[in-house]
Amino acid sequence: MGRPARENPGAKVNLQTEIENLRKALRRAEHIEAELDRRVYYMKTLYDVSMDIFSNVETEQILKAFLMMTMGNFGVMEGLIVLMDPITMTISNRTVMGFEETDIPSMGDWVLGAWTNGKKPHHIEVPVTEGSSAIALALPLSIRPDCCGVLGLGEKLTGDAYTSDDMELLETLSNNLVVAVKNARSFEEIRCLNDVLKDKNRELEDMLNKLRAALRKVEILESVKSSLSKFVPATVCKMIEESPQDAFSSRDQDVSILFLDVEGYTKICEKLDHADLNAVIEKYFSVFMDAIYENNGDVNETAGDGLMVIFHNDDKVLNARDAVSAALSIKQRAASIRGTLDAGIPLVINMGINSGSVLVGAAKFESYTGSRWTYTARGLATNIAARIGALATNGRILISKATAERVRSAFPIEFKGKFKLKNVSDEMDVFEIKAF
Amino acid sequence: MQNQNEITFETRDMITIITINGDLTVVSEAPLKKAYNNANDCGVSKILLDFDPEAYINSGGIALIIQLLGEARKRNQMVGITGLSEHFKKVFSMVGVTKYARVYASVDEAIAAMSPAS
Repeated sequence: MGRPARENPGAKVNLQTEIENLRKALRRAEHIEAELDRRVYYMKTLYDVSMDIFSNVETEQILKAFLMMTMGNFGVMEGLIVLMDPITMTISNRTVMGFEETDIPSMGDWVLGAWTNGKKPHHIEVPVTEGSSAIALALPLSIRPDCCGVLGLGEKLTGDAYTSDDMELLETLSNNLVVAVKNARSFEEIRCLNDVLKDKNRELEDMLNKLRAALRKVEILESVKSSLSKFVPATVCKMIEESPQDAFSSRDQDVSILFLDVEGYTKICEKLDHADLNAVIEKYFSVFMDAIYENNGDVNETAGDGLMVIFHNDDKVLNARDAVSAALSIKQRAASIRGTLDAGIPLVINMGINSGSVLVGAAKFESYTGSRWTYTARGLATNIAARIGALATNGRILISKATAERVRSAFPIEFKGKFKLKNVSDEMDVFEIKAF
Repeated sequence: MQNQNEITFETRDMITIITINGDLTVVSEAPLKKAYNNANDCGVSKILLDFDPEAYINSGGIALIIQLLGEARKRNQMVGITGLSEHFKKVFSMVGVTKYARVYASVDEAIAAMSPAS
């Protein structure tokens, strides 16, 4: 039998020390593992929060996701985020979890108090109803000059206090929140501006369509005007353009009126066929028009072989002189084209001029078929001009006394005598313009 | 990409088992609330949250569980948890969830522990 082993007290002590050391090391390892787990969890939360809030542009959704993840990270049952305008004290956003709405009767002062108390997380008295849970930690959020806020968190479920690591993570998380909310606000502003821009674009498009329609009307009216101007005196066109309402009103005006007539027109009609007759009239009257317009006259009426021309500018003496100048020019031009006509029929143009006050303007004639407007000069002076024109023969230019007095200094005139004109009571002095 | 949640509930031995398939995050709020409200409509007093061991639960999902625990507490409901991976057992413990809901190794163990006879 062997000798029983002797206890070695020194070795036992060493073993116990080793076991104790191993236990301590195990506890330390467990603590380190727990700390590592916590840190990994915090890092994961930071990552998830960033991923979530930066992929969103809706402030309410950002706040809710942020609050939930923050509360889940720290194991908190109550939390809230309130954003407000510090100037107007208007709360713009309010996200609450775990509290009843009635637990928080007034937020504005509390938010402002928490916000102005410093930028670091801190404990603060909050206006929660007695008996309900309290906010353990408040973190001010400075987003923009017109937007501040507070993140409030309740006690941890574990009952532990918030550590410096917690505070550090909270600050990092809240910094991300501030950026995300800023982005969201900017996005909201851009969206609003975009909506305004869309409205403006719609208004512009409506306006453009109206302008297009108006332009189309103008084009149609221009086309109508262009067509009508062939039939309407130039003065009338001008008056309608300048003042459409006034164009249809009549007024007394001192004018000179020239009547032009082709002598023997009926006989010429008998000799020529329609085409030749039309060619002759067009040829003559075309050069007459030039003479009339050059002297500020306005062809008021054409009637087969005749023309009525009004000179109705502001100066009555100038009107008379223009009328005589036009008549002389017509006579000269008629003579110059006389030999160029194929038909070989020379036209003799007789003209009469009178000056005086008449009613110038539009006249409306109503009939069963509708109304017709004409622009003319009505009055005795017009009738006398027509009668003097009818008195003229052999290509003469006859003028009344009223006209003669106005042109005497400018043109050679010759008194032809007193004439009884049809339907005119008194005899009239008639003069002839002698060609230079 | 997050898995779609499929949250169902059934009652065994007077315990309502809410089975949560898929990841649990902020976006799980609506289906989880709906399942919990449906369970409440049946007059439940004991709830077992049965997680998918493969599922990912982030801090947003944990906030949902905490809110559910708060509601259950107001209604005097007992809540148990099962199906957690070892990692999430640690996380639930770390954030204090296990102070309000006991974690079980399996559904059967939970039912045995939570049933009225026990």
